[in-house]
Amino acid sequence: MNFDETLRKADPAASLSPLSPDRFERLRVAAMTETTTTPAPRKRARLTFAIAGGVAALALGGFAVATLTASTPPTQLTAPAGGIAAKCMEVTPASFETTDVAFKATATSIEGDTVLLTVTDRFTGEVANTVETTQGDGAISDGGPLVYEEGESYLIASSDGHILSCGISSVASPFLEDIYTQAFAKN
Amino acid sequence: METVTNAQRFELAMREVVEPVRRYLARRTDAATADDVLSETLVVLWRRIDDLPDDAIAWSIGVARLQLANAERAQRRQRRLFARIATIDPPRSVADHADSDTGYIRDAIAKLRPAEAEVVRLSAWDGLDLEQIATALGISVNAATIRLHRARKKLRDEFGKSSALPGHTAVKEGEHA
Repeated sequence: MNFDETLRKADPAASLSPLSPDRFERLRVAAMTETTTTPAPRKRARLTFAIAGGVAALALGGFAVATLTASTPPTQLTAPAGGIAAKCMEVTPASFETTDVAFKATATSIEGDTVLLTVTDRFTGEVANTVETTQGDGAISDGGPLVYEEGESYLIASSDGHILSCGISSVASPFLEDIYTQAFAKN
Repeated sequence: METVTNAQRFELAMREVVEPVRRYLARRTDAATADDVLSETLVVLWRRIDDLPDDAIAWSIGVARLQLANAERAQRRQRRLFARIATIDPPRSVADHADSDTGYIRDAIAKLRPAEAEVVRLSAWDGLDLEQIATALGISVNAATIRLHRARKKLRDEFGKSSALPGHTAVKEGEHA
């Protein structure tokens, strides 16, 4: 045994087993949500737009109330395609970089492939009181369209009229709502 | 998405550095402190993802080293604070000596000057080369080379004169660091 091997032999971490994927994910999410300032300076610019959007939404509020039951056309959102290319990562506030509309909604009617969502809360962007999108078939697990259930509440984020998948848009849960709140909160 | 987002860069960087940093910490502190410092190191990695150098491992170990020093300073302060109720805080076992040989080597390293012990650990256990050691410690490659050379010589002398290290008669003299 040479000198280096002698030293290496005394390595106290030699028997340390690798981090489990689950723990890796938790550490990753924790690191990214721990900070209040994100590394991307452009995010601040985007937030300014988000705030401006919020102000615009407030300004439109009176109008929206007036037309609540009448004929506000539903916002049309395209369901994600999913497929092999859609390899999902853990959802974090940083997952919303491209999001221009984010809201909470309840699936109020499902007819064939068409799902009608009633918006209950808005995080960013302009969205009508109802949103129309396509029902998923559950065939794609990673990044595929959501499979909606009537009466269930969802958190939806979209970019350019396309619903973001990969768990970014999903059934509403306190955990996901926290992430939405953090992602669209004033930094 | 075509462009690589910061989140994606962070995940890639984390995949590269998380095990080396975890091991670095496991070699130097207790499990709870290692966990805390690993989390703090990853927060720094995320915050500084735009300035990450090519050698992310050595850089991250350097961050972990400073974070660990902070944590240990805080722990020392706490220990002083609670010194009067010290009975509830029994000293932790220093090392889980699997055999006397391993324990002897660890002790011999620990008996070096702290800066020398650290370069030996970084080289032998963390597997860093001289350039990486210099990055992790924030010193010049030249300084790292000299420090490691001296430390290794002291260890070789120690091992050479020791009869407490069975099976090490073949330890070679005159090796280069």
